[in-house]
Amino acid sequence: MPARRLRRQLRLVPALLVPTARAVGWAAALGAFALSLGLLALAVRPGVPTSPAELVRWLRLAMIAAALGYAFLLDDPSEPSTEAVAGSLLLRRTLRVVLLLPATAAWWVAVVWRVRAVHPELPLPVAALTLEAAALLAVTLALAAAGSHLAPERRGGVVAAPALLALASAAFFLPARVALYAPPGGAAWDGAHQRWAILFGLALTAFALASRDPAHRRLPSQVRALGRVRARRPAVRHAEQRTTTPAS
Amino acid sequence: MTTTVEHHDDRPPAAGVPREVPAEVRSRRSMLALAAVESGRLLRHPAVLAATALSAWLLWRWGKGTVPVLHYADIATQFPLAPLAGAALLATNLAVLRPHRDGAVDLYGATRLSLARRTVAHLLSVPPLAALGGVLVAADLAWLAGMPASVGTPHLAEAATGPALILLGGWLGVLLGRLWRSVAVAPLVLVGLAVGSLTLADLYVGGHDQRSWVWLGTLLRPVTIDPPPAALLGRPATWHLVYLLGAAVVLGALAVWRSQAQARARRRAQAVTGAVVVAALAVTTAAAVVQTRPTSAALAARRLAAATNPAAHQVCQRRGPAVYCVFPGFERQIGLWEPTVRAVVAGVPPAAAARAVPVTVAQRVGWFRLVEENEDDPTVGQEPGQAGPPVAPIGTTWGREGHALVISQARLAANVAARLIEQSGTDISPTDVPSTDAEPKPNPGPGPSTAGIGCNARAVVALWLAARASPQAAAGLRQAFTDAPSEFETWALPNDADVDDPWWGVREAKFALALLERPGDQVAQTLWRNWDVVTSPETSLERLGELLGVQPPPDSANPSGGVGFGPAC
Repeated sequence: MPARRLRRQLRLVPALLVPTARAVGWAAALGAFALSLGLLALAVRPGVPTSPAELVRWLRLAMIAAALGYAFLLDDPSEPSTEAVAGSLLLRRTLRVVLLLPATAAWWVAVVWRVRAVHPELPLPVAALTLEAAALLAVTLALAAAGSHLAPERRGGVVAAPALLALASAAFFLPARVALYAPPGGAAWDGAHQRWAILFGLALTAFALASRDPAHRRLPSQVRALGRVRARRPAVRHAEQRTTTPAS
Repeated sequence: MTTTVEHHDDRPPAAGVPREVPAEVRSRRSMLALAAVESGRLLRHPAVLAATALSAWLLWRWGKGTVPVLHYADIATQFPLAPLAGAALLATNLAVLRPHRDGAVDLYGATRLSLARRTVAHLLSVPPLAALGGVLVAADLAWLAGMPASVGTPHLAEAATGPALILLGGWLGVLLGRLWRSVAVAPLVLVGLAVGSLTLADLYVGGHDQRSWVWLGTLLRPVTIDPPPAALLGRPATWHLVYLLGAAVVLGALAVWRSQAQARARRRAQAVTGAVVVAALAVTTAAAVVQTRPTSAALAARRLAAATNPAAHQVCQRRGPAVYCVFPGFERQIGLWEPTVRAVVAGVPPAAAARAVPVTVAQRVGWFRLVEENEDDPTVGQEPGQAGPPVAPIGTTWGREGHALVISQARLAANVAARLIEQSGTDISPTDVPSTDAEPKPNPGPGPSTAGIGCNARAVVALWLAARASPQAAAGLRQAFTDAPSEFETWALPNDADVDDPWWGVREAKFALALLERPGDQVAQTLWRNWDVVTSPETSLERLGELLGVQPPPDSANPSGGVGFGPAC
């Protein structure tokens, strides 16, 4: 069953691709990438001596700036009206993310290239920093998806952007035992990146959970059965009331 | 929810307001009512609540570590309020754009309140939040001033800079909302401003007073770790405050002007707003020009004088076994140092102590950060002409708890121990040392080069004495030694280094820390019996090891061992 459903959903992708590309608010996302690169170019320039720790700090700030673009990626004013289409909410949202991935990759390559070009002598743990960037973007998406349940017209960016800034600034002050922003070469580096990996997984799960289609939500059969037993009598009474009360 | 106030405004006059009240007055009342509602919403906004908690926590965290120096603590209130300013930017922007998000723009058109008045109401909603910031700052400074041994007086302009920043952030949020309808703009601008300010602040720390244009940013940290005397601080705090407030008024007036232009308001009203913009711009520019002037020659000369000849700028007091020289106003800190100094002196044999006292403990500040960086004058901080006993340097910051406390105690104890051992071994001519208790005035200026005290047996004795002064001093020495870069053969306690701060050999420190594991009385007895030998500059670690019956740690840097293995030893 799930395989068939999945295939059905994937068959919709070509048809959804162009309309989704038109509906995405590109300005915020691309503006955030541009801002991130601009700030990095300002902070990391030739002639300014930098330590590996400072370099990594600037990279992290650049990541936060770029993640702000992702905060508004899921904002879709047409969402209430597209609920009825065959593609699920998760599919539509994933499609938006996939459409932005090439630009994201280009941004990250540009960031790494800039840092490498200016400071070729400093070691740069690219894999670990890429994990941090991916996790931060995933957390932003999860915040945006969760925020769409709170914000008017399901525009989660209003919630996600301030929440991202608050969480990121709080992360800089975490105690050493649970630090996320560990200085490079320190003892906490490896532990911090295990936490980043866990965070990445949790954020993707949260994104998927928050993007479940309200129309297609399926509860486990036991829960459904329980709900049916508990709801039967009041539901019937309620239905009777509805039919008997005159429309006003 | 957003239309609550407008309903009041729209109500027929008979419902609440007397009929004869003119429309202008009713409109102004409605505006104030809207401002009150919006300020309440702003104060309850989740971002503002989170930022308030973060700000309060940052203020507390900064304040609890060290004994406060109030003319530095006021500067330190500015950065903790930055989250609140950022939250104000986001929250006011969201408030201004609320009608667009809720599709209520057309409803607002039916109310009496014009777009410009609504903008003014949004602007007026920010001052209460700035006042909240002011309350946080005032509470923080009152808390710090109430601490025992706090010194200095806060500068009003420095203390008001944080709240001014909140105003600036809030009004920028309103302007952005009036310029662009996208809620994505404000977070991006906020991140741009924050990172840009950090870049500027970094330039300031690296470039000292030469790049005075960095004051065009919003926030600047002080440059030295240890606070210099207030008169030598040289921060254009008042002009910077005027600059920030002027910029805030420019932003606010631009927001109103934009609303008037959008709503096609009367020409006269627009002209008035335009005049406010121009006037505020003039004030801001003037303040920008004044605050970015380079350090005055007089101040630079005073700083240089204080760096090369601190004695002339300090007051000295003899208390017990030591003479304490402090910058005027810092006298209350002396009481904090006395127990450590007494404890170190108590560890020295009485006969040697009688030869060595008084030890001069003098405050030092990392002057090299304040004195111009391209200063070729080699005399800065190391005037060899002033022969006098070298002092035991101590910073103007004294720790209250945690890392700061143990490091302060370790530095003082180690420096006092170094001086005691030097002075008990070498014969100091009595002319240099005051013999009377009445107003002694020894020369607390930098003395001759102290290279050598950090090496050989006497360095081990000095460090062991220092560590025995108190458990905190021992912990501080351990921490500083562990944190020191391992690739060098010498290390120093982490502070704004002074020329009188000894550089300790790594091997010596290992030996001293190993000695701490042994019974203290036993070691003390052996040392006291052989005091002249163990404090002689020539005695090697191996000899000391023989005396104590302890194997000295192996010399990892130079397997041949012995004297002179490092550049400083």
